[in-house]
Amino acid sequence: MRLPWIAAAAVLCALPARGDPPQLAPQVLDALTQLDELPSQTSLTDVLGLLPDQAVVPLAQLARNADGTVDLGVQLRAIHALATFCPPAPATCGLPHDTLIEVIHAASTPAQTPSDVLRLRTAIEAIGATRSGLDSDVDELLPLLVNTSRDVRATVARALPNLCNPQATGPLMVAYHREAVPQVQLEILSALDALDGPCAK
Amino acid sequence: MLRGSLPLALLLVSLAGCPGGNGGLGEACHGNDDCGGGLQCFASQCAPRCQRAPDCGDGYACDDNGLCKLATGQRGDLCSSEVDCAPSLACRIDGAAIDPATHHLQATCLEQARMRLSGDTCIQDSDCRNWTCALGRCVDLCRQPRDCALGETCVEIPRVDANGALFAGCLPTQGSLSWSIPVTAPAAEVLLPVPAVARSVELVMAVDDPTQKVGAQRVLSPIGATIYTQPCSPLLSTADQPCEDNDAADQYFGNFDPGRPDTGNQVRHRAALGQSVLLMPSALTTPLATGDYVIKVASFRADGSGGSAIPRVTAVIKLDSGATLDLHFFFLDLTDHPCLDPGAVLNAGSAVSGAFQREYLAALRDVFTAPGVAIGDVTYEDITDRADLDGLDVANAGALLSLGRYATGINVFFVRSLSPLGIQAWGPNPGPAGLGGTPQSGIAIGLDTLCYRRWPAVARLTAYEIARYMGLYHNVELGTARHPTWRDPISDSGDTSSNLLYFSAAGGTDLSAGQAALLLRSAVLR
Repeated sequence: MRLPWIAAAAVLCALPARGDPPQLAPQVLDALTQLDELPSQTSLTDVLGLLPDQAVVPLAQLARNADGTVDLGVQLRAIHALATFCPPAPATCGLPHDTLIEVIHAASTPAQTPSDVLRLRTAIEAIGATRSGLDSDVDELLPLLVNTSRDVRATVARALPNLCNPQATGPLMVAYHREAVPQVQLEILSALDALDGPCAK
Repeated sequence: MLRGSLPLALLLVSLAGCPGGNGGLGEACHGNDDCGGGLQCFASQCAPRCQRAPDCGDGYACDDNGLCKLATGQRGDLCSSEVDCAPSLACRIDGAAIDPATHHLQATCLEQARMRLSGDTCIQDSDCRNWTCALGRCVDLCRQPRDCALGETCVEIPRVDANGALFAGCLPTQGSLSWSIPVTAPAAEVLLPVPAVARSVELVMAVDDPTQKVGAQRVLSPIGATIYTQPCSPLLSTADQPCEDNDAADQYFGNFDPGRPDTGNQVRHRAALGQSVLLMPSALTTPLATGDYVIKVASFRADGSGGSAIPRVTAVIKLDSGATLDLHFFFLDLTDHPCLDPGAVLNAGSAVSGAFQREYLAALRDVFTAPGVAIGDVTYEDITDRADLDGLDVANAGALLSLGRYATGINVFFVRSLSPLGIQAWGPNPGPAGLGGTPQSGIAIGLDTLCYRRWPAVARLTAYEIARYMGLYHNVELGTARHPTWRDPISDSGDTSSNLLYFSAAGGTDLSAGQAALLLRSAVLR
């Protein structure tokens, strides 16, 4: 277990030295700032020069960074990339999944900043992308259906059907009747359709 | 040719009761000497000299001195221009026979057909008064620009029905032409006639079934050289024909080495779900040739095997060197967006002033000024009835981009957010330049970017996506270190991150001369 951390340290210099911006190798920075494409697991392991179980360590570090020393654009892509390292369910996904949950907890504070909203939404979306189906993941997301940000609520509604867990149906229906923003209402309806359709089969 | 402003002018002058005398306009005459300077004797009255044959009306030519000359060609006589044939006759292409003098298709004066005039849209020859339907429009035969109406010129056009043999016809000097090419099977060969004046040409292929891909399988140039073969599909890989992801990428990126023109793809293209665009040229080292391109168009299943959907095919040709870029901004509901300054509003009303103009549009204008593109008309509209698209899942981008109704310029949609999060912009590469209302008719910009970038960076992002829409590709790809051919087909675009087409947020706004030259050929411009 020690090897991945050593390898990660070799790639990401100065992370997470508080106050000093982490120096990412140029090719890593490029991979994590692509404009119209998210990096694949293969491209990340290529640019990091690490095996998948090693590459996830620096990505988790980037995702967790909360002191603002990591560029938010880089961080969002790192958060999202974690999901690509999760094996298909029902296999468990250790560090990537745990990190995503950690980001959700850290970013869903009462006084959330615009950056928190983006980090939170990205982690929510990435949890959906793991397609874990876990009750515990649904439980993490459902409270966010009352988040003050309409964008967070919309993201939750879009992520839940990816978990394909019928436990989400009831709370989504309640949320629909409470919701005032048309965008979120439509996302919830779409989620209910998916849970009742493709997921139910 | 029926149009003629000169007879109408004469009639108006006569009706006005022009008193005549001294060879003035509208006065009686017996010959050109009876009329004053700048006038001619036409239909026994002094009239303005002609500039173009259509000024004189059907059955006339306009000579070097600006005099209308009645055509003498009778039914069955050979002709090479509409102005050779007497009134009520049309100069009609005579099968596939070639005139040895002009090396153009031979033509004969025959009775005019139906009432569609030169320049009107058509599907077949018999739709046209002059019996020639080419590039989706009725075309008059000509020998020189003066035979054509003002705003048209005389150019060589390949004749689809004559194996691409050329004739000289009147085409507009400005703008683009688009027309449908009928296809009746899931896989079919189409002929794409490219006239001598074409700056760029594109084939937009679409299928109604969004689960099927559509695109070109093969492209033959007018001289019969294979310039494009569809990249292999890893999903169809076999022991005999192995294909890994990298093989498919290698084939897609192609070999654009001008020193080895007979190897590898000379055109970059990839089939896509629902709609794809084949744009030529991909680089100026492989310029367009005049003649018929033979393109095999097909639909495909997701794994690359043959599909069942019948493609709809539209061709677009840019004729001029217009370099004006119109921008059409559309705003979804951006109310209370967390990345806007507190209290700030961004919609069609607010965008006409403030930071959007100062920091965004000004920066966007600067990016395009360098390659010689001027920003033209800028329009602003709100989209208030599509809440389902406020936060756009790029898998559903077609629903949004279909709202891009402007055919010229670029439709730019500002959405709250793009999903998956982290993607900052989305658009086709290349896009259907010159066509509005298709699932690829525009680009989308996610406003989330403003949480960590300023407006000038959003402007660079927009310019990057617009340039991709117009047919430029990443100057280098992420994997270039391992795969040296994964770069654009333009020889001088380099590897640097200062380039506009650099794929990451670290990119700049530079364009090489080769990139600029290609950009200026896009049918997006007017």
